[in-house]
Amino acid sequence: MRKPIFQICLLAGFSSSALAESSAVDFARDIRPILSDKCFFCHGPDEEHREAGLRLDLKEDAFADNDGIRAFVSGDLDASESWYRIITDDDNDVMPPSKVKKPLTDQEKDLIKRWIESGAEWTDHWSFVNPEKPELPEADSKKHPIDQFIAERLKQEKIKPSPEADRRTLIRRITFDLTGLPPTPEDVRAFIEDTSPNAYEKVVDRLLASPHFGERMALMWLDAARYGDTSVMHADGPRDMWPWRDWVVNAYNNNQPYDQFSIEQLAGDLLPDPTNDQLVASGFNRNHPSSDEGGAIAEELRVSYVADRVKTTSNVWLGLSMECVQCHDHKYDPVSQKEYYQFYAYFNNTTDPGMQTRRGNQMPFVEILTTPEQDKIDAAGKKRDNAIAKVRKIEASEAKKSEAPGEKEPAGALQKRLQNLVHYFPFDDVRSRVLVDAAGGKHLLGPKASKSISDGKFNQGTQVGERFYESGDITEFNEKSQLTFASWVRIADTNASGAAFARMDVQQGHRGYDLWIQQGKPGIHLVNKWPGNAIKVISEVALTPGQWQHVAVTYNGSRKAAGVKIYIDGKAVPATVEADKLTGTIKPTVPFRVGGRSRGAAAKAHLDEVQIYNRVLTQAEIAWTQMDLIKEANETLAAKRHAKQKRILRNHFLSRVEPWSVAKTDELHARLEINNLLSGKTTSMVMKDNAPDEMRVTYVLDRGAYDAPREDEAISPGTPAALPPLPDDAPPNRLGLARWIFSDNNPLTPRVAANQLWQLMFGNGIVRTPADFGAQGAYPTHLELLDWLAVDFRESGWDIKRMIKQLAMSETYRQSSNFRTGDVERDPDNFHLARSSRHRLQAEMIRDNALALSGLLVDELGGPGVKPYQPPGLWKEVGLSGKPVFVQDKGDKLYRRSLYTYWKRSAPHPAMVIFDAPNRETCVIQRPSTNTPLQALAAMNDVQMIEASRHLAERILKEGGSTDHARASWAFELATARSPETSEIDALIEVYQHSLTTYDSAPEKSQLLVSAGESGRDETLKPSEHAAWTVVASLILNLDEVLTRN
Amino acid sequence: MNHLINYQQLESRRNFLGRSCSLVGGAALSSLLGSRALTANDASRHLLPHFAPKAKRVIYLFMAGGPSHIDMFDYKPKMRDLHGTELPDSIRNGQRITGMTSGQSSFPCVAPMFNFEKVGERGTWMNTDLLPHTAGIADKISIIRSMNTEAINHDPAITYINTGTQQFGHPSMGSWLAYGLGSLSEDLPAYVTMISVGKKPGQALYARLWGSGFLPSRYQGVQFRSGNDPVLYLNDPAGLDRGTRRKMLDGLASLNQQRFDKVRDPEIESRISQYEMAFRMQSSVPDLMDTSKEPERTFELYGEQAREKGSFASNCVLARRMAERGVRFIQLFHRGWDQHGNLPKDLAHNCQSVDQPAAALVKDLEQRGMLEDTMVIFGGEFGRTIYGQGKLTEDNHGRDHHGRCFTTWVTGGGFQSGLDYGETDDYAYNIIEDPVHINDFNATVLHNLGIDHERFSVKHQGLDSRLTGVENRRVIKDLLA
Repeated sequence: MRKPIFQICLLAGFSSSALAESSAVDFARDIRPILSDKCFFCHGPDEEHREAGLRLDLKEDAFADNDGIRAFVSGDLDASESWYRIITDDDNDVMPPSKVKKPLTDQEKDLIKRWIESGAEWTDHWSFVNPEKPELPEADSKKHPIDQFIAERLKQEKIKPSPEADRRTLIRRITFDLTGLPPTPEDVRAFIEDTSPNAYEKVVDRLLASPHFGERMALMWLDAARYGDTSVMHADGPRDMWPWRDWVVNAYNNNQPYDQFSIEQLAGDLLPDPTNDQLVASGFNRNHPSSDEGGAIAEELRVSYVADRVKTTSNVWLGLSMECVQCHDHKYDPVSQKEYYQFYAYFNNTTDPGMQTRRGNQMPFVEILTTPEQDKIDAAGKKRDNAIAKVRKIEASEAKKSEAPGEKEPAGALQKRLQNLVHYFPFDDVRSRVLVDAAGGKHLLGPKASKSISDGKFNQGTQVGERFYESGDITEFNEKSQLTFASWVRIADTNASGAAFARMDVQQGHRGYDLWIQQGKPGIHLVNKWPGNAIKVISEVALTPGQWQHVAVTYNGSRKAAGVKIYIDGKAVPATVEADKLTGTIKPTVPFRVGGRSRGAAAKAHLDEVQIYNRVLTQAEIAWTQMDLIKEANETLAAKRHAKQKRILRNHFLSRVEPWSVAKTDELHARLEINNLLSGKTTSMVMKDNAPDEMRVTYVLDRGAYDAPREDEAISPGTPAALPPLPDDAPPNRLGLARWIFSDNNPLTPRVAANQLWQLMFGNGIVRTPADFGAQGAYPTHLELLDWLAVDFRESGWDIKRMIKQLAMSETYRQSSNFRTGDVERDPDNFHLARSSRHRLQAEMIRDNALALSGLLVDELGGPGVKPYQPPGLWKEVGLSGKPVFVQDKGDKLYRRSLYTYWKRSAPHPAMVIFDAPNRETCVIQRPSTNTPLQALAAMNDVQMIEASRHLAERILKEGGSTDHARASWAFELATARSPETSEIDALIEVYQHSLTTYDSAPEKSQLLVSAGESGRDETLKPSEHAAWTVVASLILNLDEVLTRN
Repeated sequence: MNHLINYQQLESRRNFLGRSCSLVGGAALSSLLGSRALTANDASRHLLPHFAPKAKRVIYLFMAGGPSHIDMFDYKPKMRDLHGTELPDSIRNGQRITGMTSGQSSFPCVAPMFNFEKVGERGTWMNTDLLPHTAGIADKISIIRSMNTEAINHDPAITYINTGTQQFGHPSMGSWLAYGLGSLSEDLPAYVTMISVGKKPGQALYARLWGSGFLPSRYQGVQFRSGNDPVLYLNDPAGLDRGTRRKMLDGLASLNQQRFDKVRDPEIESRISQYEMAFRMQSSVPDLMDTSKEPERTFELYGEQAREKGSFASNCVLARRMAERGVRFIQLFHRGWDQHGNLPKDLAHNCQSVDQPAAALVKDLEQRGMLEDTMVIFGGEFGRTIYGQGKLTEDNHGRDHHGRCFTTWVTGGGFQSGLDYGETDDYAYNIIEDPVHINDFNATVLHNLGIDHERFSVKHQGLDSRLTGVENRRVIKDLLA
């Protein structure tokens, strides 16, 4: 257990150490933390729960004279009421009250006593004061500024810094810190042999330029951004946010300045003319958990998403813990509940809904086209254009032939109705795969002609169910649209159930509409999300099996079931309302389909003469829809034909021209392919604000409850008053907030950022509560150093690589990490940095290290998450109805860097979790680092590690020389970057020889061990030797030194 | 063992409890797994246990999905008269309803379609069709009919009862205990979970339910499983025998020791002992999981299903074996209690899986003299509505989620036995007497373990975070023996 989790422990550990005893009491370091922890709960910023009107977080109040009583009086213990309250035996008077169960320790009492006696000097909370670049302790020294600050403290503590680490340790340390990977033997050799004075700097520069630098930095950022490949709540279904993850890697690699990097993630969508990349970046605040739970209340969820964004944004950039302020004023820091909701208001106007989806991304998102996807679309586009050219040519020469003279006068009512006929599928002459939409020209693509043609009411009809016809771009109806569906239907039997035609996404809550047949009874669905948000009306009268009957359904756009009427053979029939609550869109993204909603959901029935109108037809008009419109058009006098009749005849005629059918099939096929490619295209969720006239008004939520807004006061976006004001011209949106975070007078941002980078390089932050810079957070171990770094970072234009290089170049970083005599007693937690830190590699690096050393690593960048080996059943054990099913990837995807391992947040990869990776449901700025037997089991037995061991063994046999000694030495040096001692080689050889004896006598065991995993092996290697070296390789991968960044 | 002792000395010398923080020893025999029970800044505030504990361990039989309290435990004869009548507004009283039934135009009450009898000396109502064995231990268990939660959907509700808050990122109850009390075992984790599935898996579970939240991950529940690897990665790879493993570990220890001699980082010694512990677990866990040597009467007691690996019954036998070996917190999740439809059949199926083994576990612990220091808890994340969901027929219906009241039974480890606590109205919809909020309940469980839930806190993001949340919660004294 190396890293501090219990911050207050460290706080006490640090502030009450020799430092505090040896030097004067420092209010900020020693006293404020006590007041905060023990007093602010009742005497702090929270107005509602403040006792006796006394406030101890502000100087004026703490020293104020209240009817002759003063909490603190400089230099005068007896006059300080607080002191009496602290030391009294009177249970009525003692503070903190015994019922609070937070007594002061003797040490704390002593500090307070000494502070009052020494004059009770008061300073504002350190992190709320804008940092200034402090004077360097050794102004004339050539020493690195960082080392000057560290040395100053060490001098006070009378500790000597450690010597510089040897080059082998150093190159392994810096390579892991900057790329998350081990150095290659060539890297090590080059560094050792480089005699130039800037040899180390060259290494640092090389690593900063490596594409793996971005991957390493992303490891940290993904924890902070609570990134995952699934949606967390309820079904924990998949989502695609990896384009955002790749954006992060690229941004680090391109050394995008930290302010730009952040502004694009907080408000990329609000930048002027944002690029697609900037939109993708704004997905930072879409990484939060979301729910698809059927019973959930959307607004409750939406509010929780906004609260998550407030929490994450304030943790990551400001080091403020704001979440408690959702319900009440902050107990410790100067953030009132109203101020919380001002901050909240920035995030409260996004368009994403509370209910999210079980499958894939929820709106708003942007589409991402990968190069291979774009290539396929381009190819299909060419096919489409060629086919269209052919179709046009044929139409130009053939279309005129459709004109027949006719003899009848047209009927006026028919003309009026034709106006609103948007689609008409006569199902005649289906000779190719084209199903002609004679009225709308939105021809559908169907199965092979012979399969679904049947005898129809007029000429031919189609059989529902066997196959279906689809089109990508047919007219959409919405929840307020008027419509009439009409069709001849012949059901096969009374059990016939399913859709006659539909545009409905069964995967997305059945959004859409259909003409439905249920146990032989016709009806309609109009669905936003089934079943809670939908209209469903079904006829009480059933159709007769084996008979052609005419069905019509009208809907008047009223969003009420009462607006639906059903007709059979022209007569209105009584109907049952099964659902009657519809708000919001019914537009799905799937194509219109005749013959079912999706494969397998079709009624056993035949259809003919499907007509779709964008108006409610009257009962009289519905009688007309029963006729054969083609026949009618043909018989009408040519000169008096309605334009739509002409179009019907023309399309009907063309459908009989074979070359037209062939060319049209090609065209539709290409169109559908493009549609499928586009709808299967990767998307990435982004932020988007409501339009100015649809802005949501923010209110304080009483005790944070979504359904308890205090509507007497509308809250405008704003920032806490204890921090610098917003610039006058700041827009009242996230962009304004993001720019404020990076304004020159924001005291928190540069310190918090510098601390995060320090933590990355040194294992612990200068502030050891990296997400809490408030009164309850840890006091910095080196405040002046932190301020110097913060200002330096800001002044550099937030140059991340420059900052990392600053840290890497310091002698402090380059020290040996070995413990010296007395270190354990003197400074076990390394507060003073008299040695470098030494810590276990983080989960991803343990796996990546094994893959790299074995030669298995596939180090390509980016792309969707991959699913390497994991023990069976893990998803099923927890998944909703046992779903989704884990399907392990094959080939290269088994050996990608762990950054790309698919992150299912209800069941993250166990080898990651065992090594302390968080589940990424919430923002984590610092992982704990534990040391457990489960880690030993994973590192020894995970098939990924065993497979790596046997490949490392192959390398040993091929590259390690010819003697056991040479091989053991080579392998050890590969993994540790240093040459082993003789005793170390001996220990390895002993294990090797023991194993060899075992495997020589048990060939079947050798075969099993050297077959671990799915990759092949070099069959020329002797299995027993290979197996024995595999044991040694596994031992090496389990060495403390190999698992550790030294 | 030498490593163990060294490790403890080292760790008490250094590390983040270091000087100002104090190692919790107390009742816990610290071991290597989840045993570094640590305190926050002030040793006196956090020295655990705060007072003499009644219980040493907990077995929590968690019925995931929302078991119907109405159809199992909270029956009123008057429900028969209410059957088919509309739920009065005066009862519903503005209660928010989940999105699954909020579209329903009517809310007809549905009486249980089972036989109920008064059982035990006190004559407490129980479904004797489905719970004959539980009825048989009625005098040993206390039935709390007034459990309540604000959550009405699975994910938030199951997170709430297991971690004390609906927000993510907080430790589960078992993790709190592993952290606070440590393990009683030297070669098993302090906190173990097992999962079994009813007729269908139904609602999801989440690693966070046994996760350690903001506590170090060593305190998270270790999932024991019925397959070949009862603990993930427990088995040596195929082709690597125990002798070779021992040799490899000896070599590893020797090299790590050489390294320690040079670097002097106590963490290295700790690593050496973790590997030794792993080696021991490789025998102790299979030994624990091997129930083949259990006498025949075990299977008579727990039922034939106990022979089926992965069944709830089998997990109950394992839970007793773990309790014997010193696992501190054992949580069995049984999935599939979300009866929105087809309730009569599916509930019967679930009860058939859990009734006998749960009752057997209580009897078994009692016979072994372990019940007095082992709490056994049986319950889910919420109950179900009196009104039906979906189509009501003569023999079929469903029920929606209901958080306003539900039933949990408890026994052993400081709980009274044979008590009925809390009362609901005729609709089993509202509590009319003695409400027990889920965090009151959690506070009471902690109390039995000698922990004052208000003082048991960890600083997280500036707040003293507790299992029982920020609201005022109370120990239900009436439940205590």
